[in-house]
Amino acid sequence: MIQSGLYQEALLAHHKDPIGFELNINVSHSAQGFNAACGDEIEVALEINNAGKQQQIKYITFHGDSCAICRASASMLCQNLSGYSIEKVSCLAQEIVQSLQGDVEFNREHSEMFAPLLAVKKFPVRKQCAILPWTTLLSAISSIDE
Amino acid sequence: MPTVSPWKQDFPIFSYHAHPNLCYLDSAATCLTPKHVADAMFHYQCFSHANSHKGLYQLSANVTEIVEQARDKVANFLGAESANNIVFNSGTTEALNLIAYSFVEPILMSDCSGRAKNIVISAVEHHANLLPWQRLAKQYDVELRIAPIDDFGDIDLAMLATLLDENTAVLAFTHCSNVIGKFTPVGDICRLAKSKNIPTIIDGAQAVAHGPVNVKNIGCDFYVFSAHKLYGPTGCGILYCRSELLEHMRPYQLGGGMINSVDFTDSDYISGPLKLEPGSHNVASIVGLVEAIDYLNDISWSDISLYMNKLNHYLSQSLIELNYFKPIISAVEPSQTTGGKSPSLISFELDSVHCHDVASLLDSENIAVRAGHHCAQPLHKSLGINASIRVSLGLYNGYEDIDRLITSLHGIHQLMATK
Repeated sequence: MIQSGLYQEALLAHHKDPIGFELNINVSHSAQGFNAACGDEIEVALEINNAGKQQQIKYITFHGDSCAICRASASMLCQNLSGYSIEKVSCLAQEIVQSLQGDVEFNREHSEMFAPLLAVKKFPVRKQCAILPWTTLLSAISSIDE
Repeated sequence: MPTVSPWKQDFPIFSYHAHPNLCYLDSAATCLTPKHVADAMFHYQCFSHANSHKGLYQLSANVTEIVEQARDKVANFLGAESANNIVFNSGTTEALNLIAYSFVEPILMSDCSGRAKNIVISAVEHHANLLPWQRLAKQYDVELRIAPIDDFGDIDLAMLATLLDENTAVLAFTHCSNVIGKFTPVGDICRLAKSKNIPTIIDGAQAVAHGPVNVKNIGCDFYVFSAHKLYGPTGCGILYCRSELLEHMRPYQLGGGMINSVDFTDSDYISGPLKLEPGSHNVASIVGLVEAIDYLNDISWSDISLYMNKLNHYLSQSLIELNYFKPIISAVEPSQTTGGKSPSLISFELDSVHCHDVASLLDSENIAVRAGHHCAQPLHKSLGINASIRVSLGLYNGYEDIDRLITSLHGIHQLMATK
């Protein structure tokens, strides 16, 4: 029986039945991310709601050829960020990246929200897999003001 | 054939206080080190070390002799004309960059023909045998021509012949692909190139551990490899170069030990291999390479080939039986072999499971494989994939390792498959 602390049930559930994978949305902004070391490719696409004072992310979708960690991370991203303002999503994505890199601790709210990702911190060679969707999201957000 | 390799005990990494349960299947990346090699390096460094080729005292003279005897040993190993054809460097990558700078770039710089030059390589090359040529091609507006592979993963010789012409500056190709594992008919290709007066460079990194090499019989102009792919240490590489070409090569790096005379405005470089070996030699690594060659000679190439062929055959047969096994080259030649030689490694995917997950989960079982593009990204792209799992065997592997791999792959597929 294969055992690994990296692939917990919750993470595997996201991998096998990912949220936001290949959704048909009205894409307004998108970005592609690559992990040169291993060949992971992902595209994160956003549908922005411009109504009201603040721009909000209405839907997020992702697609591409990537490993279970990257895919599960992207799934959690899509699950938790739809409906938030661009500003908040940007801050959150930066925090997640820094947390996965080990520079800062997850805050309590987010550590519950992204609990399955915490295990990745113990596997340095796979951190980049988990981080890729978030840096790609930040690239997509950065294109909003361009 | 025994379940456990008869040579496994020669490799201290498997000892009880190190990694007794390690199943190492990444010998194409680097071979593990036999005790003989590690001991020889330790002994040299502790009891014989000095700077070679420079000191006037006996200790230094002894080290100079060690290096020059090593040059002779490597010349014999490669079937080279003499020790003067052998240049020591840090590895295959440096050797290829050296040839690009010292031999090929001057050809491109001095070309006054007015005709567009070209450089030819194959589609299976490691980045080390692609990037130096890509840079030269861009720098001198030269066409970089890529010989494709056929359905079986072999370099398409008919297509290659059409790419070679009177404007080809050099043909650089691998003796054995680090992704597909098939051996290239190097002699046939060199004869073809020679008939058109095209210099040939062979990347032998993946071939040297799998059988004897004879550069005279092959007929190549350059042959390069790294000691660590041959059960030796990292930090030592070999460049074989035909004498006539060596004399015309410009020095790659400049420093001590390579000049007849120097003043503040000009320098007169010595001839021979030392011209391309500035600074202090990595003698411990050179000693390690010599010991590795002796180690393999003691076992004998016939025993090595017989054992590795059987093991590679068992690996491929075991993998084929998995119904979710997807080899990156699915077409199978009628004989399954090239010149009686099984491929030296196998690259594949598992249906519905990403390569990185396979490698991570195998690691959790103490099984080391490579996952990714193996520094051959264009080849993977041309095969329509981003990455693959690569299993490559060494002398320390036995049937037990392959059985462990297969059992684990089965468990991984059950755990991870998305359909």
